[in-house]
Amino acid sequence: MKLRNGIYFPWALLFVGMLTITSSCSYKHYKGFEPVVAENVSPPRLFDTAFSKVVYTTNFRVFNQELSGLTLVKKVKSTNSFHIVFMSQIGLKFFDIEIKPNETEDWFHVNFIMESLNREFIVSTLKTDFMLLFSKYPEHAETGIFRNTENEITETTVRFDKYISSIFTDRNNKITGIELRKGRSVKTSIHITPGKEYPKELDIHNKKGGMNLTWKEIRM
Amino acid sequence: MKAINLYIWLAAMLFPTSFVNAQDDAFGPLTNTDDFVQKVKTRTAATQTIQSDFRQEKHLTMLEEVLESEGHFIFKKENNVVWSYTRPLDYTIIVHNGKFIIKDGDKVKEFDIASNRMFKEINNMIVTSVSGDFLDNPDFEAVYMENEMFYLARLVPVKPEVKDMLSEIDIFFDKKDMQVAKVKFLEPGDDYTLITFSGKVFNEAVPDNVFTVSN
Repeated sequence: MKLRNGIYFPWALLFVGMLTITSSCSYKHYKGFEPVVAENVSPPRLFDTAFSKVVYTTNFRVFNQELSGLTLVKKVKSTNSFHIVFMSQIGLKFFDIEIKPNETEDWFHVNFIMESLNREFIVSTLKTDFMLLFSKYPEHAETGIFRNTENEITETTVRFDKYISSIFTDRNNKITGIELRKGRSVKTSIHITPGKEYPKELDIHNKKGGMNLTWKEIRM
Repeated sequence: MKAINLYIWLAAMLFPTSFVNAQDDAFGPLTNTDDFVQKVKTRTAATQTIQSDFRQEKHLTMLEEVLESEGHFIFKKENNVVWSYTRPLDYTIIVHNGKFIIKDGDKVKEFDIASNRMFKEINNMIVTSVSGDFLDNPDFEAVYMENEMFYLARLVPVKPEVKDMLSEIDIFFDKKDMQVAKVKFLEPGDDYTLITFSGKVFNEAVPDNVFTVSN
């Protein structure tokens, strides 16, 4: 949000502050957030229904190893699925993952992953990350809404198993942050710079293994 | 009949690349392998440096997507390479003195090629492809073909770790100068990367400082 004199409201700092609160005490809703009575709440979507494709410059870090390259995210309308293809600059593919939002069981499909990345921890963490990015929560998940009227931030919570996911949206209903907690511990946090139909930038930080994934939109 | 000719003409105008590719793909077995091998050896021995522009197309076949990029390429014997991408973003890969250096915008990262198996294999593939120095290379099984314009060396990786990334590397030699005109990296499945070289300059002095970058 742009204030007077070209100063931007530091949403990122606010979000980091929220994470600090979260990790230091049991999960209570952030200060200033009040429950909103609503029925049949659906988690907001990061990729709009009009989205077709985007290319991001990508940095992927895991266990202090770093890979960089490009990621194509493309929606295939005929199958209503998303393909996420991460490749090096010289074109060698690192992984090609397909997300099928309408499938219940086989919604996450690895079409290809380079042998050196084909580790159970990496694949399962990517699955969690993409669950958050594509709002592919379990069927039995329970949702709720909380709103901070002063800052015009809405928090949509999704509870499933022992986890709670919070999705933060701004006054324009654009997602600016997502986090996944288990008990008091933040497992995954995602900082997002929203765009019109898809995120312009995002930074996923997974606590386990220090696995980070950064995307920045690039015009091809 | 005239209508059919018109359709063919229209198709050629609308899809010229597919016609060119069809011509490129019409490769037959090499009639004189010894002659080709000798030409490659002569050319490899005579080439000290190569400087060239390049255009890269990443074909994601199933997704019907082609990601294009371009830049400048420098090779200096024995094992020094610069891939400098200028579009769509500023990104440089340097292979020099056993190091793999990546300059991504303002960030510079350096890797020891020997310490990282993946970088070692990628480096081997890059140098083998662009230098055309694949003869007697035990890491690949080679098949040779030709058409009117090109000799084609089809390299099939032997090492499992390379086979995981690539099913074959096609190196196209221009028959006019026996230099590498394009390289095609084919992956398991149907995806591939095609790198086409243009504006090539051979054996001009290349100072060593082009293979270094500062933070």
